[in-house]
Amino acid sequence: MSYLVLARKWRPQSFDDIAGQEHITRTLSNAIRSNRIAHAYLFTGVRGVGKTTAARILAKALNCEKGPTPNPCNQCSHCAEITSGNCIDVLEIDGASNRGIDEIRQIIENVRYQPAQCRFKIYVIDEVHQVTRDAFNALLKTLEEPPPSVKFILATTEPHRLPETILSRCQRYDFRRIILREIVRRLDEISQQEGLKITKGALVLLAREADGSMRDAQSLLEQILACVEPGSKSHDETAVDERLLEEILGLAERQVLYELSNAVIQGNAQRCIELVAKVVVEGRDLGRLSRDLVEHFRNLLVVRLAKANAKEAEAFGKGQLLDLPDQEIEDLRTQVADLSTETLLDYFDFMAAGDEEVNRSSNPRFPLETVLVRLATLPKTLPITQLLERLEKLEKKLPGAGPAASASVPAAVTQTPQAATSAPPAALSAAGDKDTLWQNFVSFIGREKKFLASHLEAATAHELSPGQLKIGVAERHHLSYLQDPDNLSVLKNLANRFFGDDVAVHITAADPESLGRRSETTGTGTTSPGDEGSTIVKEALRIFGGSIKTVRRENG
Amino acid sequence: MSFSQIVGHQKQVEIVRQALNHGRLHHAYLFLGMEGVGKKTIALGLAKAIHCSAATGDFCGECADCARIQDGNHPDVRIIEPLAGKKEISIQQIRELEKELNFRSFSGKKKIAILNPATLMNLSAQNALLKTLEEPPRDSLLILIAANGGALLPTLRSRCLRISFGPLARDLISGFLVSRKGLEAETAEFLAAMSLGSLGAVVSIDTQELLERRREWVRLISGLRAGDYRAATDAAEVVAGSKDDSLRFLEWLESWVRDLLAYSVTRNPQDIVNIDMLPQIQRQSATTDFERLFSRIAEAKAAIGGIQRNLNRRMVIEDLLLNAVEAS
Repeated sequence: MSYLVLARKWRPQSFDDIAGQEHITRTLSNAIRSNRIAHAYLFTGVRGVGKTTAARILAKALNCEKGPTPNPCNQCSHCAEITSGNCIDVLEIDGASNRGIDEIRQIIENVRYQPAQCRFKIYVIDEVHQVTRDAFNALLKTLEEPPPSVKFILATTEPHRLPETILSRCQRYDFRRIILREIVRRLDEISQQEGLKITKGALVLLAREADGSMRDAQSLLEQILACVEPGSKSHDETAVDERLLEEILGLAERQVLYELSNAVIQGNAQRCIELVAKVVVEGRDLGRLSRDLVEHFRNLLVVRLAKANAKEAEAFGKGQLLDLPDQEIEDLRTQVADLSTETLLDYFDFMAAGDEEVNRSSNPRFPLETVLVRLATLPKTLPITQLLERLEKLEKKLPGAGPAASASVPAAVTQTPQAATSAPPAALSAAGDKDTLWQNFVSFIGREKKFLASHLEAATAHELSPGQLKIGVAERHHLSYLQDPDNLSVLKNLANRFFGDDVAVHITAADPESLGRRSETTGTGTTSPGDEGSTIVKEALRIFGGSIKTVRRENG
Repeated sequence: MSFSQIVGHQKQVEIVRQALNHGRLHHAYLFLGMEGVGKKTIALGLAKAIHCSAATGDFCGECADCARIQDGNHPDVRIIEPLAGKKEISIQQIRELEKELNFRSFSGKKKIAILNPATLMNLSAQNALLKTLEEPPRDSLLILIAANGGALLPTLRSRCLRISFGPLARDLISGFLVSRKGLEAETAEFLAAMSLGSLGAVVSIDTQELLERRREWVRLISGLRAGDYRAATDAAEVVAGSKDDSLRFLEWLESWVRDLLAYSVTRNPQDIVNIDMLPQIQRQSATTDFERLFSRIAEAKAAIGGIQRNLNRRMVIEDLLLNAVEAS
């Protein structure tokens, strides 16, 4: 028999052998045991996690001569035929090659006939996402109510490409990515059977490289086996360790990963470039290295976050957040010691963006160098809370930042709306202060005639007594607007309504300097609403729609 | 020719040979690595080694089998490339391949298919290949060649044994150019630095023309002064010729900016690509800062992307150069 690759040779032949998918195998076994077998299953999940394998085992479990059983015997003729792939009642169809409506019609045609020898006629349609839309639609009726002897098993990596109508007709099982420990366990089994001596560390490295896919892991193990023929003299005594593995697979060593990230953390851009050059000379895979770096910075971030949160630290133990051996987590901890979450986040962000460039570029070296230099020259980011603390400290050191200075103004400003919403005439009696009254008046006008108010906001009240309103306007265009007879009469009417009295309104020109001087004399210590400073504040409030919380004044 | 004459990649060649000698060849290999580093040469070498009638575990390169494989008309070795006038490898070609793989091999040895490059398979073609890649008919071997694994389906990648080919070391390339192409040492040295590790990129290049061109480019770039929009548009007119020319200019520009970056970081001419322009690089890197270089690199990349998407070349390059004079 010709040589079979490991992934095929060691394809699990019973539900118990499928690694890391207990949630599925248990459900399926129980379904068979209690005779609650659906007529259509959909298996989804990333590459190499056991979809096709599970489909075949399910076919065997249903068709085994020893009755539908969760543990197919693997010995009867039916099981043997299914394993070797030439059972006439178990049809494994490549959905990607037979994707048209004609092929599907053929299936529909054949569904009517009873199985030739087995209990069920089972259609396994692999890569079903490639089937065309018309073909899917042709299948719908059959998939909904197939004859009792027919079962469908669909398998795909991309369930989102199936129509809803197909999805709703199937029992869907989502296969998980296989966790590191499971892969290591399985690889250990296989390498023992194959007579390969390999260290635990090397297995972990292999499993990590496989990224949750058992088939990838087995392919890699295959490669090792091909290089280190078990039983040959050259490698008989020594076990395969990480170093040899990295060499065979052309992986950047973990060492380089730590050196590079250290160079980044120390801000040593020169070292980064030198290290990349070294990796290039060694002929390692740069795309791989950059992906590893992304993962490394991600791991650093997770370690940093978990330190702050004891609950997550607990999750480490279960390998949920960091699928890594303990020693390595310890190494990460030392590396992360002096770094803030924000800095790590930056590293992770930039590296992830850079990784995309690296893996898209035909010459990955330049983008990798660029992103590393960028990371190394990145200014260390401080947490915003820390910045605020510093700012507060700085503020305390400033002279004359007494809380008393701030008190009066916010009271005046924030009060305004409340006072003015009550009946307008009440405003007169309630507010003794001229400036407050003026404020109230302006905001009252603001509600009635917004445009007029915007001109008044730039003005100040020179005199405000019952029956008398003298307004000083500094800027010419405000002045000319307010002096316009029409506008003046509107203003007068509004003033009458506000003060509940007949008011004579006078508009006069006021030169800005006098305004400024006035504010100096009247507003010592406080930022009174009449002066120029407050005009700016008001303008800011108007534009941003805020309110004044505190006011502090530098140097009195 | 034999395995020992392949330039570089000793480790990778060794992996393939070991597997061959131990009878542990995987049924599907994915050769990953930048253009022109020898992926196809090694793939063909493996095919020859399997079929060679003169040597075992190696290939002679002279027997009838080797010659036919080299010429692409061996009955058991299929090289699949986009059909003439097409840009992609179609699902039709893959279906034909599947059918062929199901036949018995002509010579009784392995049937081999080399997909070059596999990245040109469109999505349906890749999907159609999945089942075959997982469990191909017995005695078949598929070799997928790709510069960039990202363009292949993850499910496809997972079914292959990946072998990565790094860029070739400079001295390997210059050595090859001197010994087999008869170039002078100095020219070979310069070409090796320019090649960025791709022998294919320089092996048949017109050195004189390249030098000429680069001198022009450097002159243009160095001539750009802040606010001199006129010079920028003029320069854009010069370099924005055909699509290839524009891309070559932009790729060179990227390497130039990268050199500035690398030199201002390391102060060490060892890794500089534009080695013959060292004085200019030294001068320019003294007056620039990282932020500006980062944005230059990003702009150059964006421009390359734009031209690959068939944007107006003149516009793209003008935009790039105008940005440069504005910011500097």
